[in-house]
Amino acid sequence: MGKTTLFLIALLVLPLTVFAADSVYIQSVKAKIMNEPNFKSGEVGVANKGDKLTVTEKGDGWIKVSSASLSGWVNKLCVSDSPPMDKIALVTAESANLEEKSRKRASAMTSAAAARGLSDEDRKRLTEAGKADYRALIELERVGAGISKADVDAFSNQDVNP
Amino acid sequence: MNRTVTALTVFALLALSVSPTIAANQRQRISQEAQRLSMDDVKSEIAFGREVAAGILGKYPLYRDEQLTRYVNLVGKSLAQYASRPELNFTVGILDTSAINGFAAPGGYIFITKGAIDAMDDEAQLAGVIAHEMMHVAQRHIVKEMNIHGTEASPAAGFSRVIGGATDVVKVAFVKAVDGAMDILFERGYKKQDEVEADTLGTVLAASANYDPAALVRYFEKIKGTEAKETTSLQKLHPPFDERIEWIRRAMEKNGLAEAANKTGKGRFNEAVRKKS
Repeated sequence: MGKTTLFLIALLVLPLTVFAADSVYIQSVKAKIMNEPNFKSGEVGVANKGDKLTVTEKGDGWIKVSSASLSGWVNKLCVSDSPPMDKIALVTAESANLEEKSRKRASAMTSAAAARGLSDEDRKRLTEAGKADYRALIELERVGAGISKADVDAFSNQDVNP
Repeated sequence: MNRTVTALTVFALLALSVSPTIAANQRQRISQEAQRLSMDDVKSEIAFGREVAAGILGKYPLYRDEQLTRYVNLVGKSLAQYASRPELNFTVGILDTSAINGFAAPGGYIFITKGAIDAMDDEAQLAGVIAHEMMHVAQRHIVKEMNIHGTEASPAAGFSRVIGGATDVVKVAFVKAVDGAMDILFERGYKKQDEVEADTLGTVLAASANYDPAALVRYFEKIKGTEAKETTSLQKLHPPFDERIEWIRRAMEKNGLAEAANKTGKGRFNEAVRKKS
């Protein structure tokens, strides 16, 4: 069998292998790629959020992946079949004007509507019955929203006692 | 040569017949995944969770200490960086009760009781409990059980219809789903398999953020001996502590976390909750 024949076979096989291969995307900010499917086996490298990796083997809680630069095992916790989404924020009472504007566009109507939750009347009834506290929830959301990515990075990287 | 040509012809025919099938399957799979967790699904999950979170705050008042709340949120957001739901804004609230417990509402709302925080020794234990609740959210345990979607595929779905001129029937279904979530959180508890998943994946999550992976076990060992009335609700809604300790230890062993010497953050925890070291 000549080189041309081998080349033709390779050309035919290629589409099959490409379509058969699964891919995963890193969802966490960073993911350790390990030698074996456990964290004590030694780190091969680190993959970053959004990296697309080819799945070569599936294990219990771990997936063997490869990319152009590395090959090893990643914990399933860090990956998903779809690319990571951006943060999703809902329309709240504070941004009612925006919501009103978006209602005028058909494409944005569903999103604006889905973001509102129950009607004000429903909420008032639940609050009066002592079954919900939306004021406390908004207070809590304000504290959470006041924390920036830089705050989280500084907190995570702070040298704390063991 | 003739044999080679025949083989190539057969191979070519096979490739032509199989490749489109695989490609079609691949497209279908991608399409199913997209359908499983679309942007609308996530928006519905958050909006649904927001109603459940307000319900939790109707059961227990919010503990209003902005500094402490900011601290537990920093721990939560540090953990969230390593979780599989980057699209969610995880928010952690403290509930003003001496009962020891934690709750998670879909969409990223986590609640830890003041009683639970008071029973903790260090930041790694707090991270272990938050990570457990975070995994209930990340794995969409309540969302799956209540069958919440952004599409109109389920009785409780079509959330946009509930709001945008919905029929009473759909609205009632949605309110029922919120009640169902509250029932899981306060009466029935999660399925045992969901608790196993939250404990084991939560342990991996905490370790990924460099926290002591044995912290949750240390916490359970400690509160096992706590006065019964403070842990009644926790024990009613969860499997026995010894069982949970056992499967966490197995997960640590399996994932090579048993020998990990990670941080406990005791000093920072004590400073934040104003305890003396």
